[in-house]
Amino acid sequence: MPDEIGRLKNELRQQAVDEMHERQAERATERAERNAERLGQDADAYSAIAQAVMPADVRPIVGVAMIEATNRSAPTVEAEHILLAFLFARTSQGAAILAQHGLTYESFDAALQQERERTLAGIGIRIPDPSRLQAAPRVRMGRPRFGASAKEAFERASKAAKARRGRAQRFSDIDFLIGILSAELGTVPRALLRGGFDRQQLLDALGASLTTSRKDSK
Amino acid sequence: MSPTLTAAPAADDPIADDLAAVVALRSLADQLEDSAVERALRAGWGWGQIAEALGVTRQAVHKKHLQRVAAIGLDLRRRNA
Repeated sequence: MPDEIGRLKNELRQQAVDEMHERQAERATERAERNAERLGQDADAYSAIAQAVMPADVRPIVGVAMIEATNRSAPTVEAEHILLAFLFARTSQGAAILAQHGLTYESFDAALQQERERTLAGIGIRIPDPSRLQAAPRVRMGRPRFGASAKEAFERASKAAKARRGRAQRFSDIDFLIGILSAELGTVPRALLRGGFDRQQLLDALGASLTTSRKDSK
Repeated sequence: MSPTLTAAPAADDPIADDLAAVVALRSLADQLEDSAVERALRAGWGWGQIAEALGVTRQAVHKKHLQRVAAIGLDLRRRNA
């Protein structure tokens, strides 16, 4: 039975990622068609270019983050779930930059576990055998409920994007990741520290990509 | 934008550790609840018994867990046991 639950969780997550890619592809095609129309070019020929420069959309990642939360029996979507979603999907530019610094879905997941174990050990709690925590994912219908850490990250990201571009605009995955990683307190920074990641280094790497890729934004 | 702390507390700040432990305990409690409810149902416990043991109403435990356990096809015929 535990194996079955693990499989179910993986399936749910993969499904969310697939849906995300589908939606991104759909949007890319739509955009390509619009652009092609404008330029009087063939839509297919234009599609590849549109896909390559397509700014990562942060909204679909929320679906994956929601699955991360429900798979972990969490009542709300927190910053760490969004980070896990970005890392799992692997498609965003931000995730690629973080991977260069060793931060992957697997390594962050391990860091989260380590952090929890150490923190609970500090108050004399030993985490029971995994079989006693194994549970079917929670079911959440409709809109996800965001926890404070996710909301904070979101606010920091939109503020930063606004400051950079001078007006309110949809922010990129990089902005969102910077928003998540700039928290100095909470689960994410503690897990990163425990996992041996230099948060500032990650932030610098993400920040550097913003200044070099500005020409991509229209 | 205006943190009241001039710098983040040190990694080994005992207060930060205790506050983090509260967060970790909540998440551990959530996981343990989900898992224990499932195991109770498999062992033939009724919803009413689980609710009583958790100190919540039967409706509360039902609302929180029914869809979840139904999704994994857990046999719920024993719910009146």
